[in-house]
Order: sequence, then structure tokens, then C-alpha cells
Amino acid sequence: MEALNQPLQVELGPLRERMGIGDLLRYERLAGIPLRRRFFVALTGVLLLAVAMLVALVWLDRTGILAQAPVLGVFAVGYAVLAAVGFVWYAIDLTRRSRLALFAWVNGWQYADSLEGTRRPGSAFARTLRSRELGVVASDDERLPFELGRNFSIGTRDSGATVQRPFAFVELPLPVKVPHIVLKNRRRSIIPTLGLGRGGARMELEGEFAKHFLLLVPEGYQQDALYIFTPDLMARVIDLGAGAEIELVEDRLYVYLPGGTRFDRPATMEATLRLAEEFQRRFAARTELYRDDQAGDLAARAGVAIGLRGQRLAGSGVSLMAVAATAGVLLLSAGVTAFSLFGADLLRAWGVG
Amino acid sequence: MHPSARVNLNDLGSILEWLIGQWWVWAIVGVVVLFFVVVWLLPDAKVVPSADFSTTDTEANEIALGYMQISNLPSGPWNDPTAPGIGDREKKQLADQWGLHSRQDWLDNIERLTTVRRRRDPWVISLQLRADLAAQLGRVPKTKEWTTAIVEAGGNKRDARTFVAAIEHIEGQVRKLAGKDIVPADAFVKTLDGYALGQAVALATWGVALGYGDVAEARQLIHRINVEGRPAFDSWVDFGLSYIAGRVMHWSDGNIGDKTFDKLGDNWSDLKAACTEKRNGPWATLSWKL
Repeated sequence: MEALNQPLQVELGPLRERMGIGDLLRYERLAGIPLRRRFFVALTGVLLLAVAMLVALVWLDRTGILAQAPVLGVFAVGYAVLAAVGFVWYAIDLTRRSRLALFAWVNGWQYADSLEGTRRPGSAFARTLRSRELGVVASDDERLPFELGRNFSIGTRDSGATVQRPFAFVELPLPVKVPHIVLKNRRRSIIPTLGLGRGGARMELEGEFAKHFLLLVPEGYQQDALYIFTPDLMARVIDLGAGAEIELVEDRLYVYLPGGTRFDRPATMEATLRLAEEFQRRFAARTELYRDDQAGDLAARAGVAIGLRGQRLAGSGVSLMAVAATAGVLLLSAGVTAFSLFGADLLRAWGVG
Repeated sequence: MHPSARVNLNDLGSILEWLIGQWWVWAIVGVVVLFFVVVWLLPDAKVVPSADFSTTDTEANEIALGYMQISNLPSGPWNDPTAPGIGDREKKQLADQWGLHSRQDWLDNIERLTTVRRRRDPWVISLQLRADLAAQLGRVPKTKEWTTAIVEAGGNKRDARTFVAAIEHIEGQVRKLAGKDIVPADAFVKTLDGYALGQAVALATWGVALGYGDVAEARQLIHRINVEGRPAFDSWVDFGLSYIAGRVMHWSDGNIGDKTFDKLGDNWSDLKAACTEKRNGPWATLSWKL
């Protein structure tokens, strides 16, 4: 009990550590990274590819094919360079994750290098059929319970349509279940919110807050949203999370941050933990006495705290990336069609061919 | 000239005539027919209980709640609370999958499954609505009646349609595969809790195998799961249907595609075995009411 009254001391030192090869290998072992994703396996793969490309180049040269089709040489060198760049990027990310893991372990928190099937209730998680979370730090310390990490959606044949931009997140527990509320950032879209909450209420709250956020709530829950988002809470949300999007769903609060958020940087981690601590404290204070007066007998019989209308905003949000990709494909198809029809005339008009 | 050279490939009759004259064609047909006859004649496997533990008393009745999950791993005879079928590899898998690294982890998991029960509130309310509607109408509500009731209660129309279609698809598949004699037309899913409760019972036995508790403690845990879980169900079939629907819905997140049931609802065969007296199915002989 006494420990709960002590302020939480967070050791940021590990995030400033320089990681050597030995540290990376130790991290891979401790984090249980599968063999196929380990540093030396990736390095071996890249070296083998480079050797194969070199052998192919020599063979192409000796047989005279390279002289006839020099583009093959460009391909061979290009693949080798691409693989090398990919490996360097992989090694950098591995170093960052190992630093994050050391930070988590030193502070007595849990760490997972990669998680799948976490089934978080947040709309950004629920809308993808398959996703992977990397570098997940979890604390069950009662003074600051949180989970944070980065989410990457995985698109295979049947789940390709649900692919969205990667995002970083902080998950905080709430003392009770609340209606579904999303704070859509007007200046910076992080999670797919296009079309989310159709038929629901879109609240433009007063002053500075309205410039940053649009509040999406299920129809009929406007008063409940105002009960939670008091002016002083709104002010702190702007101070700490102006670049974020926020979601309250069931008994969870999610702070969504851009996918490029570097939790391995001491300043970023410090700011994130300050945000997490203050949001957790303030949102807990605003929600602990919350009760859904519209829940009704049905919810009571089902043993559920929030009525069906307040459970979820309608729709799952459309990814801007998906819209852009579809538009790109359509434009490309139109361009190819137009070129095949009128390309010859155009080239002649430009004096080519 | 080779005999096959006389076949006119533009004439189907000619091809068939040639095939009929080949001994190896008849051999292939014979093997295929023999395979299907043998499969058809073979009796379905019986459910084999452990001879060391009772199959008829209250303790057997209580552990039978975990039959589907115990069969799913499989972790040994359904009535054996020591889960003797779990070897070293399975122990490691269980520890990884369930995060069972200590006795406390084991107890926490059972507590979570018994109380929180993998519930998703929108689904819980929608199923409650169906049960209420069934009580009012005196029959299973039709698709439109149920969907309309969800929308009138404030649910989103599109989500309601998806959810109703998913549950009815699972029910239809289980009824078709297990048989209408086992899953009658008036049996329907009222809750998805069966999955978590079945898992909780199995987990209690797995904890004994992992060395986190003894048989007496596992029996106590199983008794508590039964006391808290059973009242929501009317029969073994009601519970089994809930288990299968809960499993499919949980792992698919309610996104039911063409192959979802084939992948996640495959334990309809366990339900069939459990409810068949000729196969020593425990649910066929044990009373639902404790």
C-alpha cells in the first residue's frame, strides 16, 4: 500500500545505451525471436543473395548475354542493393527494439517483441483482419498501468482490403465501461476515421479544442460525452495530445500516435509516459462514477453496463491509404487505356517515333 | 499399332470404350469403392473414459462440462482430472499459449474465463435480445425479427445483419453436420459463454498436469465453474452449441467467411460423439441438472 503512494520512478537510461552485436543477439534470445527472423539469418540471406547476383553477373558477362542486354546487370545489382538496404533498415529497427526491451525490463515491465491476435477493442485494431504489434511494453503497476507499441496490419489475399497505415498506440485502462467516443484529429489523421460514426453525433466542442478535435459519439450520448470531457480535461488533451487521436471504448482508452513514433527515444518515451500517467489519472477520475442511464432493462438482464446504442459507433472507418490506392489504380488504368488508344498520335505529335 | 492409338480423342464414346477395356481403370475404381465401403461400414469411434475415475457421479458430471475442450487438445480421457494426455511438448505449448508460468497465472486464467468469459458486450446484448424474443414468441425468432429487434434497441443495422447471419450460419452448420436428432430445430445460441466455461474446466485439469494444483483443488475449481456457469443453459446440447459458436466467433472476430466454420467449428464431431449413447458419449447419459 505504501508503495502505491510513492511517485513512479522511471529509468530512461537504457534508452541511451549503445547496442552492440552481442546485445542484439542476447535480445533475440531473451525476446524469443524465431530463428528465421534473427540477425545472422537475415545477414546470411543477404550475403547469399549478393554472391548469387555476383555469380550471375560473371556468368552473364562470360556468355556475352550482358553485352547484349545490359539491363540484366542493372537488375542483378539493383536486387543486391535493395536487399542490403532492407537489411540495414531491419538491423536499425532491431537495435531500437532491443533498447526498448532493455528499458522495459530495467523498469520491471513486460516486453514482447511481436504480438498477434491481441484482440484489443479499439476500432483501429478491430477493423483489420490480421495485424502484428511490435515492441510492446506493458506495465501492470497500479500507479501507471499501460501498454504501448506499434501496430502493423498484414494484408493477405482475403484481408488485403483492411490494410491501413501503421500506427503507434498507448492503451490505458478505465475504471468502468463507457460509451464509444472517438476524438478525431482535424489536422492529422492517424487511424481510419473516414465514415466512422455515420448516423452518430459529431460534436464540435468549444474554443481551441474544436480546432484540433472533432468528437464522434453515438447518437443520444452527447451529454455523456460532455460529462466526461470537462473543459479542464479538454485543455490537458490539447496540451499533451494535440498530435494524437483518442478513443474511449468499453473500459479502455487508446491514444493513437503516428506510426513513426520513436518510443526508443528518451524524450519521446518520457513525454508518452507523462501523457499516459496524466490521461490515466484524469480520465479515471472523470469516468469512475459514470453510469449509462439509457442502458435500460435489456442491458441489465444481459449484465452489460452500456446500452446497445452506446456500445459502438457505426462503421469501421475507411482507410485513406485504401482510398488513395484505389484512386491510383483507377487513374493508372485510365492512363494505360488512354495511352493505348491515343498514344501513337501523341508520340507522333511530340515528334517521337 | 498400340491399342491406345486406335482411340479417337474427338469421340467421347471411343475414349470411354477404351477406358472400360483397361484393367488398371477397374483397379482404381475398385480401390475407391472399397475405401468408401470400409469407411461407411466402420463404426464411429467410441468415447473412452478413464477406468480410474467415475463416469456417473456428480464429479464426473461436473468435469463433463469441459468435454469439448478436453477433446480438442486432446488432454486425455474426459473424466480424468489429471489430464494425463499432456506430454512435455503440450506443456510447453500450454505455457506459451496461455501464459501459464506460475500457479497464480493458472488461477488467474480460470478466474478470467469463469467471470469475464471472453464476452463482447454488443454480442451479449444481441443474444439476450434473441432469448427475450424467443420467450415472448414461444419459438426461435426468425432472422428478420431478430435483426429488427437489434436495430430497434439501438444497434447498427449493418452490424446486426452481420452478427445474426454469423450466428445462424454456425447453428445451421452444426445442425447439418451433427444431425437434427442431436441439435433439434428449437435449439439456438443464447450466449457464447459456453466456450470460456468449457475452457475453464479443461484448464483446471491442465493445471494438475502442469503441477500447479492437485486433484482436490481442481475438483473444487470445476465445481465452482459449474455452479456459476450452468444456470445460463438448458441442456448439454444448448451448452455444446454455445461452446462451438463461442469458439468460432471469438477466433474469427465475427467475420465469418466461406472456410471459417471448417477451420474453427470442426469440433461439431465432438458434440456428436458426446451426445451419442451408442458411442459412450457422457452428455447422452449424464443429467444436465446437477
